[in-house]
Amino acid sequence: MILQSILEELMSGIEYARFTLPECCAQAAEHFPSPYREGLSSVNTEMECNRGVAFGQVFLYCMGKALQQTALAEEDRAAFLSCFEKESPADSRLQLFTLRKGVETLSGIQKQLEEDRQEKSRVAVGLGALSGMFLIVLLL
Amino acid sequence: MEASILQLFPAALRPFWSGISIREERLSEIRLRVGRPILLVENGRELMVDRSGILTLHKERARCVTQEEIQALVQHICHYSVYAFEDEIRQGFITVPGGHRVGLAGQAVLNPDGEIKTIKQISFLNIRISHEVPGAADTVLPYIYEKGVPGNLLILSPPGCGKTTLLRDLIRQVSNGNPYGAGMSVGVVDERCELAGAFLGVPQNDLGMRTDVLDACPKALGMMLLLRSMSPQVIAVDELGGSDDFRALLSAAACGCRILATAHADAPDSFFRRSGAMQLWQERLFRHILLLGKEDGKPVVKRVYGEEEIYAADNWSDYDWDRMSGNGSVLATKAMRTDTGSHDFTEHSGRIDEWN
Repeated sequence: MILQSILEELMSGIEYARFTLPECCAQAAEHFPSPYREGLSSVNTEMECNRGVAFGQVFLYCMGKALQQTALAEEDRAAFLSCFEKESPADSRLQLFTLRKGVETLSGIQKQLEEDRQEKSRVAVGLGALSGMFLIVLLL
Repeated sequence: MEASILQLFPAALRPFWSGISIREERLSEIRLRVGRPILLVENGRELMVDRSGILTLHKERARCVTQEEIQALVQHICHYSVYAFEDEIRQGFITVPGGHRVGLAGQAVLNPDGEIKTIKQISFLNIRISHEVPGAADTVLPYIYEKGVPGNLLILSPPGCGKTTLLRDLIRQVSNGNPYGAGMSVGVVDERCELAGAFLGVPQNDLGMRTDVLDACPKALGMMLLLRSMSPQVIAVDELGGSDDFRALLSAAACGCRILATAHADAPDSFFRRSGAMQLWQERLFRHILLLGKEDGKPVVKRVYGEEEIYAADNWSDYDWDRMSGNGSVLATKAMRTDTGSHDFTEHSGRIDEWN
């Protein structure tokens, strides 16, 4: 959920003020708890140092490091980081589309996880009931 | 400190450009064209670069630029957020940290109404290296100040003769105050982002302590906005273009603002021949006109035209006045006379040289 919020925050920076991606990260950093805050703000700091490294690489490194400190699933992390793998398009609508797609992918993963969890809990409940019945039969 | 032009290049290209960036002070342009040799313009002279980054005059040894390098450079200049520079790309240039300007050309994409929507397949870059020259206007100030305030001034020259550099220093000195007058509030409409060299809203050049900058705004619109919002005592604009600009100048002058402006022209008469510019002449807007040129590849003030000379009727006797004030089409048959009354700046004050 928090990864989707980060992407939405970045999108609002692009839509509202035409911020560059590093600027969007700096703005978004203020609205998220640690370690996301540190990760996002370090993206901007690194880009300001202007070592000539592409934004995608910096984002992958800084946010990858920050996400390692969380309990997020590997699938979530990969989906989030993949939004910045490609070069920035010349059109803001395309950039927003890329991020929106990222949000949708993350939502899809989350939905899938919830369905899996529900399925698992149904199976667990079923198994529990069965074993309970089995135990009763044994005792009788 | 790392040379600022080196910061324009992505990491992969920096080793090659590090040797060239040492010459930044002498460079005025870097021209990159896909499949063509890298060209450096240094003191008006063109140089090429070989594969190891050493300057050469031999075309055969010169290193050519690839499409990938241009793409990487554009991405880097745009902070990997090309969408954020849509407007700048549409206008054909991006101002970068240090106040340098990167001109772009490629394939224009047009809107249905015929306006440029964007430029795709960017294959040509012209990095114009900005040089702030504090004191460039020192020798000009005594000519333009009268009773402690600057008179309306127009600076004319062909491209690349230092108009913007001179105007930038004039703005700074008028704003901060100088031996000829106290500091005044200056409003700058920096349509091409060259004067302040603002990058992401932050001016990269010093325009003085009493200067307000309206960045990337059309001049005519910007002058009116500044008049309403910042009440400047002096309005400065670079590269006057169309009749809208001229009308806005007249409005600003009518409000009591002093004007500092520049335009591309090789003589005052060729400026006043432009559509709508004759009104400026009829209203006697400018007190002085500076004509800049180049000598030995260095910018110099070639002439200072005083009011008497600019508005001497016999200088214009051969013009077709009706057509001049009408649709702007002009039957000019005689160049403005230049042999009377004007100051030969080179004789009076010495050259304003070493700008580059």
